[in-house]
Amino acid sequence: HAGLVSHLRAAWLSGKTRPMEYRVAQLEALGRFLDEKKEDILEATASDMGKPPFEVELSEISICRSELNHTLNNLGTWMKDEHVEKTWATQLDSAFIRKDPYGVVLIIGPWNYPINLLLVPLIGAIAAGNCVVMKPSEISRNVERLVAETLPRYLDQDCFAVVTAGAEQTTSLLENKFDYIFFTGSPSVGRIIMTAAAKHLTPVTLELGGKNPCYVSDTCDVPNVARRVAWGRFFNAGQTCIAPDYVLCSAEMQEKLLPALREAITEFYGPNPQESPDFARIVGDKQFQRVQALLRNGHAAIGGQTDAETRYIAPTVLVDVQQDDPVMQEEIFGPILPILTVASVDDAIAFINARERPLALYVFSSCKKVVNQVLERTSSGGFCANDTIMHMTLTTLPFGGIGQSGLGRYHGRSSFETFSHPRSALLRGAGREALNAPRYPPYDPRRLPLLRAATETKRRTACTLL
Amino acid sequence: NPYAGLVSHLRAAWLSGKTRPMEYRVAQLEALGRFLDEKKEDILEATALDMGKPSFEAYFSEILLCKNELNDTLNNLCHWMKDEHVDKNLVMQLDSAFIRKDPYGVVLIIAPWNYPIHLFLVPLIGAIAAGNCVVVKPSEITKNTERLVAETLSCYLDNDCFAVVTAGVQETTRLLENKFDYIFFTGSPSVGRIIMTAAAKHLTPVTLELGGKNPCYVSDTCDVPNVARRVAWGRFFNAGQTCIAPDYVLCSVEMQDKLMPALREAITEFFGSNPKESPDFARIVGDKQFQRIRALLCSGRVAIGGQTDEKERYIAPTVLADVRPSDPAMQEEIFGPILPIVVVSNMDEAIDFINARPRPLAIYAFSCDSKVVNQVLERTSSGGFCGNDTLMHVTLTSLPFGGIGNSGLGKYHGKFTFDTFSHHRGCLHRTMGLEALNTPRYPPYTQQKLGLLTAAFEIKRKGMCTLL
Repeated sequence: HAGLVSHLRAAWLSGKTRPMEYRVAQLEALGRFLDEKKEDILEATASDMGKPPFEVELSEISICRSELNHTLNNLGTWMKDEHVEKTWATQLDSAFIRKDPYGVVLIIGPWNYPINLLLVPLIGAIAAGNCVVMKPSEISRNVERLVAETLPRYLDQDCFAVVTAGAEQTTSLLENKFDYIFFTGSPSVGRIIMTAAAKHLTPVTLELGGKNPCYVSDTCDVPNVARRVAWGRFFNAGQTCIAPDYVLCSAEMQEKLLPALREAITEFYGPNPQESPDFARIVGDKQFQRVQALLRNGHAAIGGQTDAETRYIAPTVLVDVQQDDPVMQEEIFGPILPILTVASVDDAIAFINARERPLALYVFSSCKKVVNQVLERTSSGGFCANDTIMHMTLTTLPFGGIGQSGLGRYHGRSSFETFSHPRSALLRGAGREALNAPRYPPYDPRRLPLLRAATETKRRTACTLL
Repeated sequence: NPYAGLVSHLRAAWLSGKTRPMEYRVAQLEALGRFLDEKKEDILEATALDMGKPSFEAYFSEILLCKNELNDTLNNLCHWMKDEHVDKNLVMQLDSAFIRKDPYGVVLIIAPWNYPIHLFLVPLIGAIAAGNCVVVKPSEITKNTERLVAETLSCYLDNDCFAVVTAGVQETTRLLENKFDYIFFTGSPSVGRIIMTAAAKHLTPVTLELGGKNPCYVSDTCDVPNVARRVAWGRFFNAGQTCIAPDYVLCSVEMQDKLMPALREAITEFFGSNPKESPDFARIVGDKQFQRIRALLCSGRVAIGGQTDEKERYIAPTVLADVRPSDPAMQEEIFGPILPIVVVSNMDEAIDFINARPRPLAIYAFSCDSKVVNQVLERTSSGGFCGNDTLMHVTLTSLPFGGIGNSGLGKYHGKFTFDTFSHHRGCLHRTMGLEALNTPRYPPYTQQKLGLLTAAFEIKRKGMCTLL
């Protein structure tokens, strides 16, 4: 891939991606891609993993359009130099933060939301003025082909390229020097990416995963909780990085939740979800087998049926699951929801904190105190109370992990900032040398108070945390 | 692992939540302020012993600048800590959506020897302000300062949550085997790679403040005596051992001829006719570094200075003329009191020269013509930039300080330090009721529901805005 990378680097050095008009044109072209290729996207995602068109429209197309429009609406403001507060010594100077692009950036997309998770970072990268190499997932084959064959036609091919690559070729791709790498995928591959990036001191954003806990307190509206949790768990057949991975609740709540979940699942998918047009499939045989094996834990209070031929796993709820069971050792990434019982919110918090920090954390409670307790005493990428998934639909909230669930954040302005280098700039006058004289040797301690006054930040009286 | 016990002790303190309340953080920060006040003389003495730092320089760079950061943080901490409420879409008008600033946990700060107090203290201020527990590893090369910090800092800070570790290269490698929640490193690019590789094992986010060769372009239209003073000051402060010092000058051959006498005059004005006798000129920190820098003197020709004294680790303020890109002085960051001048024909050639090399921590451009300054700014890439002066951009706590490419990743100073050590956690509090708002998203899916959802959620394109 060396030739491709140097081609893009030459285009980068030519400066053609810098003007706002250029970036707007490329972003508008992305918009046309989403409009004109919509049917192809629906078809490809259906072929790859039986994605219901409704889910694709919502989670792949509409979300991208929102990000696109939000960026186009605000790009002028985001690109502006940000003027900053100055000291006495620099009052007459110009001090600002210039948003520079990084250069040639690499975006590696996963297979679960193969358009969204490639395009939303791409929007930020283009908006920030970079050249981009995109590597869509080879696992969602139809989307990979669609993106590789059609996306380049919409974009300036001097500056934007799509590379199709399996694991080995991606390793080879990573040997090249990129100026930023944006990766969405598993923590184990995240480590490999960051190690490769370290060789070139390339900054990275890693959007990874984990087991997102969902604590359901005893004071809640059970039918609402059941619907919101079921929706988050079974959307895209559970293959969502921020899906609720497992539920923590009291034994009493479990008793109430189960019939409510059963009702919600039936409401959503009918008595035989395999016949519902609204329920996706597992993306591949390897993933199917991995998820299917997790069904051996506890017992299926709801669902549990599978069909290897169509890679169907029924919307399933497991009970009597032990902490050490395999289903609690890895991110499920499938339509299985284990319920574990805990005695109290303190136990739930202790359980959560004993584990890797997840990408998302969910709490259901009518009691604000409980919600705030969990928020304050845990750590996670993001947090949502009384719903699942919905926090990621706000372009104004930064989206990213912490610890094993990732580093960096994006969406909305955060995407633009991710792909921008905030370059500090101080433009001084060529004259007024008298202002500088106190700092020069020969050093005179009597000048220190003057220097201090010219550059210092004084302590103001205490302010209170409102 | 020799440090596992310490790290788990700090992690237990972290999990207890004691670093979270604002009052706690303010108390620790105020204690840091007392450290700077009460230990001022010890700091001046230690840095003088370690590398002959003039006390004026040490006061300015190690104490005054740190106090500014401390005060800026104490003045603003409550604002920075507040939840940031964000704009919501139609459907979420009744919800609460905000960014919560969470600490990372147990963070590691590794500091270098050139500004041994400043470069651990300023990150430490941000780490404490953001609510973390911290392990500080000062440089083992500045032995007196290392000892001072190791012996006295713990008297000021809560030892449950903050620790100083003294370690050489091997012990630091072992330290890095532990899992930290953030690593802040200042030092060379080669060690930066090692740090990032170690961090990758634990998926630990990092800030790397590295270095490079900071170019200093001097155009033909400039006030030569002013330029000479400002460049000489930036180059020879701390005997050149400054990550943002102007590393080399690019100018026309005519400008080199004008600059030379002006630089000679500035150096004499600063340090007298025999800089070795000036109390205002530092020394090289160690023998290894001294020998490395001395070897760079055989580049171009010595136009000013060039004298050295191995016993004192003194290298005279030196200017090299007619230096070629292939010369030793142009192959590595100089980090000493030597200023090579490389001749270029014009600004375009200077820009090409800069862009053909790894991106530096700072770029300097001197010109009375603001168009020239802006051209250089626009057509190059660097951590930071200063027009018509050197170093001064770092004195503004409101400007982010950090590198790009080989000169580093991440940024700090002022609020940026607090942000570096905070995890911005996106939070949405919805109501338990109002389920009607949610029903359109549930299966069975219909076209009508989709229409409702896109109308409610999708952001529309507004009328064009212009870049002012």
